[in-house]
Amino acid sequence: MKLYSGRDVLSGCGMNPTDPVTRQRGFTLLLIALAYGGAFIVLHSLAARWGQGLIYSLWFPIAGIRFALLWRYGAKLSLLLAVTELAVHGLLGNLAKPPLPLLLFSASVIFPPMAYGLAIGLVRRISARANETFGMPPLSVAVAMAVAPMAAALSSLPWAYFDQRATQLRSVIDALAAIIMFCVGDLLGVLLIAPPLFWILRLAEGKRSGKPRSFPARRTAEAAGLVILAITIAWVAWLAGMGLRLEPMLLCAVWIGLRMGSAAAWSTVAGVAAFVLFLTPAGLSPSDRIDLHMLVACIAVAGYLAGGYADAQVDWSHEVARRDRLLFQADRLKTLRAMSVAVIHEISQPLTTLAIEARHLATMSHEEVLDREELKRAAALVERKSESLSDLVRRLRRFGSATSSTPSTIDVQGLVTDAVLVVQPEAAVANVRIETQVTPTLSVTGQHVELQQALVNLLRNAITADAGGHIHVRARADRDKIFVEVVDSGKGVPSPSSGMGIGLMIARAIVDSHSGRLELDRSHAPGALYRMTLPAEAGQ
Amino acid sequence: MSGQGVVYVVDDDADLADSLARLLRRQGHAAASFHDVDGLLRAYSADAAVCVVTDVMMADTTGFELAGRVRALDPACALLFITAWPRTADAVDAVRQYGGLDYLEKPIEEARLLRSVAEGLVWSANRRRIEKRTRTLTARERQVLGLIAMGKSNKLIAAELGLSPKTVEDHRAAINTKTGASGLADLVEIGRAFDLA
Repeated sequence: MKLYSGRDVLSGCGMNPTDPVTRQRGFTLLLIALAYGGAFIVLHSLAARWGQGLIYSLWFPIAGIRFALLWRYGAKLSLLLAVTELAVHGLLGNLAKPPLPLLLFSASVIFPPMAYGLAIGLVRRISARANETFGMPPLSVAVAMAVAPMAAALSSLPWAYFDQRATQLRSVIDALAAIIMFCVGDLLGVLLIAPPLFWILRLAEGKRSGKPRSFPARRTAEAAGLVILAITIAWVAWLAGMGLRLEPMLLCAVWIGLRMGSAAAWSTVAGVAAFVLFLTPAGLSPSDRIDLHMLVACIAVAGYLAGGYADAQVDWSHEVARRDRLLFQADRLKTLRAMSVAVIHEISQPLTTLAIEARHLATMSHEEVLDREELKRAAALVERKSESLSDLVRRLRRFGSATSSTPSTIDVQGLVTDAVLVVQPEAAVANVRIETQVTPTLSVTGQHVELQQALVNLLRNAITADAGGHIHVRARADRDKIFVEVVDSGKGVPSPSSGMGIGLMIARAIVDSHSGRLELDRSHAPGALYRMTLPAEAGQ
Repeated sequence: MSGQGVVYVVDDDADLADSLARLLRRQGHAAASFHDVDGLLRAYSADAAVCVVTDVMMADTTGFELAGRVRALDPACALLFITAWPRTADAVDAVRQYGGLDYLEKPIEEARLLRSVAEGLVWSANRRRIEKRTRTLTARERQVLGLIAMGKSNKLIAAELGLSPKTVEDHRAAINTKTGASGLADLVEIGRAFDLA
């Protein structure tokens, strides 16, 4: 028997053996191999309990560990796993055979892990090209979990003809049944063992996604109620003499998967599987046991696919929200650019005073006798005007910046003031007066810069529609809601606007993402009233 | 330069108005700053200025409106406009319609401002002289003077105003006496001044 050296394994995995990073990787691989080998020894004997009298075991937990390791660390690891399994068999003394049977046996040991690697690699490649929901990890892993066991089953069956199990394979039907049994055993193993392994590995690496989702109490209660209902139905069926009916649990697992994701689905499935694996009498006939395990496997696949789909949807909506943030920032920068002409004019005002006084100071500095009062006055003005220019720059820069990663408490009065200041240059050019009427001490939770942007967009629209007119900005609270209203007088002249109406769309998107509403109230004709409704910050 | 009359500066940005007034004072002018139109008009009734420097876009009124009201009070006051939002149309209107001498953009070029103020002082002094000389003219005499300044002959003037040439000659003699004009060129200069009102 040829023993592979570590180097060969590494090269087989596509890595350069002499690189120090690779050496560290190699050490990790060795660790994995040892752990896997140990688990294999333990679980292999355990699996035998469910394989008595059958060609394949009906629960193969090793498959779960295989899957988790291959999905996590790459399909190329399958060679290492295969070799490890072979080594363990060697330790257990199963390799003491004549050459031909030995070869066949070795092949039957090596092929399933390699088939897993192949299936996983394939699913990975396909999902990498897809985007949207299918490409998201939760769903593609669920699909891989269903596909890999089938691939392994097909790769393992031919070898069964060559050993003592051949007696059980007298016809094609037996062969197909054997494949099904293999699938059932592997599916159960993968679906029950792999998910918790993933979560453990992710938590160990400290990734945030490792933490489970949190749900409102109502939803958890809904799930619990459903489980109780399903168990009750099954129990009633048992009492009515219909035998052990697991079908209600199937629907329960699928529903929970869709509503709460794969973690919750796994818990449900694990409960059912634990019941079937450990609490059913050991003397069950093989065909009954096959029945039960097949059903549990179906429940597991269905529940996990549903959960995977729900998780992928959640991930996708986070991705969309992230893109929204970038879109809003792009809109803010576009607004800044559009306002730049007005801003330039606004800057010229304090700059005029600043220039005159600075020149004056320069002239004074050449004189013999200094007029103290004049010096003080000029210097104070220079400082004041520089400060107001710096404020303007800072204000505008903050407006164009990216959003922070976490929402914060926003003072509504400050928000309105900031928004009005930002549009002030443009309002001045259009000769529009802006008046504010804000109830103090109102606050909302969210992104200051984005809510400010929504308000700015509404104000700019009003300015464009009402040149020479009057705009009111009002903010008030009503129980747990806060209303921010922008009303134009309708008496001004609409300026020809070069915008594409995107400002309003963006404002609405921002308000929506803050769990609010933006609506147009036409009852204040001829002016237009836009009302933002936002949830007040909790605890007001 | 002092003793030549006061310059008023109007801008609703108080710091800017004060700064400009102080700048003018450093140059030897008598200057005062105002932050709103009412303040200026009140001061103007008490003490007429030779020149008013005003911002165009202010909170309550525009500089052009202010110019109109100052002109109504005193046609001999020079007007200068400053603005943070310069527009070509405004600049043209400022000079042609509102009688402004210059239209400056912020941030202001000090040298240009001082030049224009100096010009304004000269213009204003000139205007007052002319006003003094033409104060006693009747309305009809002013009409005739205006047409003389356009280079029209007595006959044409008579035809345009529907008078006899003799009447026109009489008016002309009266004008010469009242204004103390030293010749046709002088008359033309005086007559032209009316166009700027």
